[in-house]
Amino acid sequence: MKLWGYQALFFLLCLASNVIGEAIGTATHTNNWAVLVSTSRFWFNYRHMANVLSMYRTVKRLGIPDSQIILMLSDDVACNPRNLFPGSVFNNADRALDLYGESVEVDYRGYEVTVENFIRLLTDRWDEDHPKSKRLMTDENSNVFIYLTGHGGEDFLKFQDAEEIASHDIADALAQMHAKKRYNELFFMIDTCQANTMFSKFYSPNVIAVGSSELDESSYSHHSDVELGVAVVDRFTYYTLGFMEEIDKNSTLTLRDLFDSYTFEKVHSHVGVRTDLYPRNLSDVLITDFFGNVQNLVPDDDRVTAGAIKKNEQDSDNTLLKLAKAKHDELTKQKNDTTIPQVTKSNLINNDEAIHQGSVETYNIKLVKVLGTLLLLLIPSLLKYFSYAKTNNSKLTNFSLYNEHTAL
Amino acid sequence: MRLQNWIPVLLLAAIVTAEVDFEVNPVDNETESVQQDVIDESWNAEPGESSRITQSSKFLSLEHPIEYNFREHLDLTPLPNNFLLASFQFYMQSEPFGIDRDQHESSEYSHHTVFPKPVGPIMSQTNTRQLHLRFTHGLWDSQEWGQLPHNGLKSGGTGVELWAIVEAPSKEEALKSWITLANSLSGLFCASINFIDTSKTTFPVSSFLPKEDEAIPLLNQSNHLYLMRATLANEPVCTENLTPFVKLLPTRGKSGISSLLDGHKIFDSNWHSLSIDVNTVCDESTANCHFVMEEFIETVVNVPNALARADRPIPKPLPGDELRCDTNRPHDAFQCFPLPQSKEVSFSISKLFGKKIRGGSLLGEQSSKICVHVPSHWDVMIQVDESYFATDDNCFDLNNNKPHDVRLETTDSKSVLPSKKTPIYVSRALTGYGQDRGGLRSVFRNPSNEAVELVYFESLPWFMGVYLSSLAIESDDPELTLDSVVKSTFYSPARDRERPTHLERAMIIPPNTAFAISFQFDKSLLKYAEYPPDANHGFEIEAAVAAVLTPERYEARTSSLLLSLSTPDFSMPYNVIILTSTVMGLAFGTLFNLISKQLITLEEADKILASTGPRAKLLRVKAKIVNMLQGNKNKIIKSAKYE
Amino acid sequence: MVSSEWQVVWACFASRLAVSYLFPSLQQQLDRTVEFSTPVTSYRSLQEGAYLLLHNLPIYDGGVVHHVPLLVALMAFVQQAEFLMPVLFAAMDTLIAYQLMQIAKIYQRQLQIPSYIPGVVYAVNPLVLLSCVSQSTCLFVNLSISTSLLFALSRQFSLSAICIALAGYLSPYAYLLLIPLAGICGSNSFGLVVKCTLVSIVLQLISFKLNNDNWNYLTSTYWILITFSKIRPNLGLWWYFFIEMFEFFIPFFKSVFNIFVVSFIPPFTIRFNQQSFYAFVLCLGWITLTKSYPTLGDGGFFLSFIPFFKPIFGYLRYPVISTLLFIHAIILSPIFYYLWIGLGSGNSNFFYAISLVYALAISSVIVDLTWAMLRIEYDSGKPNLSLKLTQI
Repeated sequence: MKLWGYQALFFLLCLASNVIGEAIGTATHTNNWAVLVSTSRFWFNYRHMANVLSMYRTVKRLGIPDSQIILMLSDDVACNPRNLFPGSVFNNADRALDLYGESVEVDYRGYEVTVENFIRLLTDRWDEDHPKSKRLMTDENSNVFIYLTGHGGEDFLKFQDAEEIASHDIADALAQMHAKKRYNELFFMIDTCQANTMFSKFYSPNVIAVGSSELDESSYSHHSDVELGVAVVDRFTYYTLGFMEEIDKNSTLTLRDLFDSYTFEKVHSHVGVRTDLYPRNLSDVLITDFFGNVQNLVPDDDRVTAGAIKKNEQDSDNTLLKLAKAKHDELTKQKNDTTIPQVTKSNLINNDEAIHQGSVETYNIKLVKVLGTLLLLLIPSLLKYFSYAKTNNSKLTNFSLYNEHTAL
Repeated sequence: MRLQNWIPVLLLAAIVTAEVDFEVNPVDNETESVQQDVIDESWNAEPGESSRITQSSKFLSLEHPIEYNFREHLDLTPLPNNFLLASFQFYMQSEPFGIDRDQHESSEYSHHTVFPKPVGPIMSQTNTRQLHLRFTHGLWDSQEWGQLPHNGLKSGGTGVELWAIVEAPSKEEALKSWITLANSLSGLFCASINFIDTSKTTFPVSSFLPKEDEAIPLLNQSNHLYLMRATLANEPVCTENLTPFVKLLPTRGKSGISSLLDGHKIFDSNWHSLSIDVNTVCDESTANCHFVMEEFIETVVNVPNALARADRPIPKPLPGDELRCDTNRPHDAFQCFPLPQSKEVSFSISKLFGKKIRGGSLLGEQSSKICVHVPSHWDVMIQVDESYFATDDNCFDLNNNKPHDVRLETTDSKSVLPSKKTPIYVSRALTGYGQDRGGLRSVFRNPSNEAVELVYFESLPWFMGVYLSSLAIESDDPELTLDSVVKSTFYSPARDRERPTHLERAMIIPPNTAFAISFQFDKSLLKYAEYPPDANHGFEIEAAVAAVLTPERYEARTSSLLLSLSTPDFSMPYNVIILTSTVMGLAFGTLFNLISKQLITLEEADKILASTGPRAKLLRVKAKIVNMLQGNKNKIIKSAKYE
Repeated sequence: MVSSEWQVVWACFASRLAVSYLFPSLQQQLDRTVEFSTPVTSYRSLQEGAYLLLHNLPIYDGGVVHHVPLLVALMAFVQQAEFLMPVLFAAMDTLIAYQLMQIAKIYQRQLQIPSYIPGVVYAVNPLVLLSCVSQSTCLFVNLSISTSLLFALSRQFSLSAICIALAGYLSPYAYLLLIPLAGICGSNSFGLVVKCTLVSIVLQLISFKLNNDNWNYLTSTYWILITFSKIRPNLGLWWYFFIEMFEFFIPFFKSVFNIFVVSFIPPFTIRFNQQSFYAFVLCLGWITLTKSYPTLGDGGFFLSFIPFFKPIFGYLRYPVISTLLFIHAIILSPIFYYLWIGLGSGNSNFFYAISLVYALAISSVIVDLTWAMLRIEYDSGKPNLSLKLTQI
């Protein structure tokens, strides 16, 4: 009888903790970030730029602000002299939608898109000078969407036609992100040839990955624009966008729906999904968890924590107030103490000698002339010495090719 | 007695509080009082225009306009050969800020009105007193179009140009601030300005200096002022650079002339330039400073092309009925000889820029102004809603927020206002062939009847090793020598990977003269990692600047050059290391063996080998085993015997 | 001097003058090839230094001049008489030929060749001739080295010290030759080193004064040889290695290469301390192989000492291979360089391969000569060519 009771109690407690746990779990996602990277250079890789800009537009449309999007474009196609439509990038031959639009914020462009910068971005290891708008300022409550496109192969992705990033490098970068608590959940999407190999080495938790093609499979472009003369979008991204166009900020479609929408007939390659590092069921994950900006509110009047917090808050209020007062006093004291500081005006610019040290010289031409004449006068006697050789010195026999007295 | 002294004070207090009660809306109480403080300060600080903030109303209306220190101006100037120069000019001033002893921005609440918020902290943190930034692309045809707008002082060479006056205690500190400045600007303007480092930075001595009567405020007596300049000649300029320019304006492109700014049209032009100049102006007596910012966006569009593109985005052959055929020559239904381009044009700038102007900015004390500079036989009208207006001087004020459009019509588009001739034509080219050396040749031409004095500034990357001894002058006039043309030279030689070659020559060009100055240089080989990903494209050399001093202040720039360097084989680092190490090891090893070993004859060697070689060792071991076995056998036999 | 020696001297002088004045553009063309001119020895940068000195512009604050101040000052001094420079260079080259003949005279007894042979070899050596015509400053260094050698062999040690100090001042690799020179001097080596140090200090002070009381010429002239900061293609082992190496490893490998240069100087001196003259020549060859900016002039100078090895020519194991390697390298290197730089159709690997072949050629010569010297040492001076030897 007692055993039954205890078991029932235990069961109830588990249920309760589950519920609370889930509540706490979903409450730790407060913002969404996106990292969109195109890695190819040159005009004929127009479609990779169009891929990334399409995802940029989608992500912006669904609510993520520019300050939370890191856009890396490796080449300038919009204002490229070869572009028939200056300032425009299209992902469809009907040219209905201009992806470049009127306000696009490119954080890294041209030669800045390198493997080193990409890994630094993920792990947030920068110089102190690096501006905040170019940093991935995520925390443990951020869901991060990473999108990579370009030319790739087995376990590598080519950056700028000159260097490669290996799948291990990305996996290690993600592990660093996890160790530094820089993401809550991470959605990794990659559209290159043999893309699925790129996420095969991941080992950090809470990561979902989708790639456009299997090992030894190529990913294909969708169609070309005859006027532009290049392919304008890749198949995998084209169908992803087709799905995303149905989504709005309140959509309840899930990642399972997205992955089910990919078929071999459409994409012409086997789309791979990696979910073993992800605890939740894909049918419970909303698209807007990654692509939108839906924020979870953490209610403040939770009875469980209220009692504990209130007291602290009161104390912290007082301390805050005290700090503010102290600062104000200090400032007013400073203001009253100091006399009006001097502002002078100066016309001396670049007057420091250290700048052009050694750029103004006055050589001692006299010394040069003295040495030169000395040398000229000495030449006859020097010549005599140079050619002088005492050939009849008896001690010369020491310098022989071989020495008769050498033993082995 | 005491009470009597207090009465006027009490009276004054009553009046003041009464005033405050009467005049201010209870809703805007707090903001109004702060604004009032700022207004008072601005009254004291600014010697020039002062801003008056009267009662703010919820709706923009003509009766009580808001007037900040903001002015905008659009100049449209048709150029010869059917080009049009559109020059958007914006002038902004910040609110004054005091300086405390540590030269940081005052810890008081900093109030931003029309001055862009991001720029102030960048200037203060790096102690920058003057900042000049240029994004330019395209070719300005000086022969046809005359002088650059604003005397060339507001546009740069191809790419990004940045120069700033920084206050710092030493050169190293100045460079550190400069790098911080470049990084902050790269984040703000979405350009790779962070590539500026010491290997691209020069310290100009006689160019890019402020005017002689313009003194720069120095906030700490023990500091010095440093002028630094760098250029990135290979930076593309695109919409992501235009967007921050528009967002820095108080109108943010939603009203006023900035509503015309569209990347699709601005960058579909022969020449465009975006520039920013920020100056710090201080009042010595009150130690209050404020920033003054000028933002210019200029573009030269080809009018027929732009109009045709507005109708037909893809250039395709005209349909048959739109062909303008010369009927005097053979023609048929499908082809004919074209008539020369018609001189009769009529267009509106809404077709040119794709949209109408959304009213005036209604922020500044002066209203937004549009001026069209055309000769008298052009017809210029401004269209507001459905009605058209014209003025005598072809300048229009935008006083309301209705959509405006400007229409230009003429029967002779070839005749435009005569453009001012440039005082000097300068161009520069690379000479020579081969990838290990080359030459640089600058051609100067003075078309006028006055002698021109100028400072010719060149900054060449460190991988060009310059030989000044090869300086030569070519001219038709045999009397012209280098010494008669070049008055003085400042030369700061390049240090590999540390700083560029910096040449500044003060020159005098006699009237109606042309000559070329050339010198040779060596091209260096770079290390593996220093080549950009597209190494065979070449390296951009930034434009040279000819800063004319007399007869008028003008800045002409040459075009940027493309220098191709030889490349090593990028696929071979491992192979090279292996091969070189092999050769080194071969030489070292062979010699080492020779020197450290003994020489013996072959027979002796065989003998020694026989006694110490591996085969000999094996034989010995075998003999030992055999011995052991035999010994055992003997023992067994012996023991067997005894048993 | 015997009449044949005079003939050689005049022939040498005349041939160089003839080539210089009959082909006036040859000097500039040769000065532009990487085989004969390097940033530290080219005549063009010497002219640049003189120009900068006369116009009060900075010489050593960066830029292209890497010559020592004394040379630059000299060049500035003779600026007006620049057309006489070929005469000066031809005279110095002839002097070297003369000194070689004097050295041969010293070894008349052992050498079994007439004393004018080394002079003839030097005079007709195309590498040396072209290097002289290109007016590269390695000639000054070679002259100082050969003068110092001659004085050391004539037991005039102070003068030898002065000359080797001058050579070291012009090119710091010559200081390494102090070690075999000390071997030649035997008991007087300490005095030699002391005198050399004193003269070097005097020369540095003169340079300091000439350079406007500024020490910055040290980084431009000596430090770049050690740190190899100017990377230009040449016939050495250094340049391509450090172009292709990743930044992280460069300091380590630069120190390795520098140690490599020094590494065989003491061993040669110690091992062949009974034949110290030949140790000197082998050290000279080793430096030519491993220095950071080698020229064909240095290689030619080393090769002109080969006639002194006449008694042991029989022991050389592969002279044909060495000769062929040399010819291969010297003929193909300008072709492949032009293919890479001028036409742009070849790869840098072609020229790099030839530089490796050249290195192999020099090292094969050194190895062969070393083997021959070891052989004759074993045979105690009486050549026994039929004996087959090996090493353990």
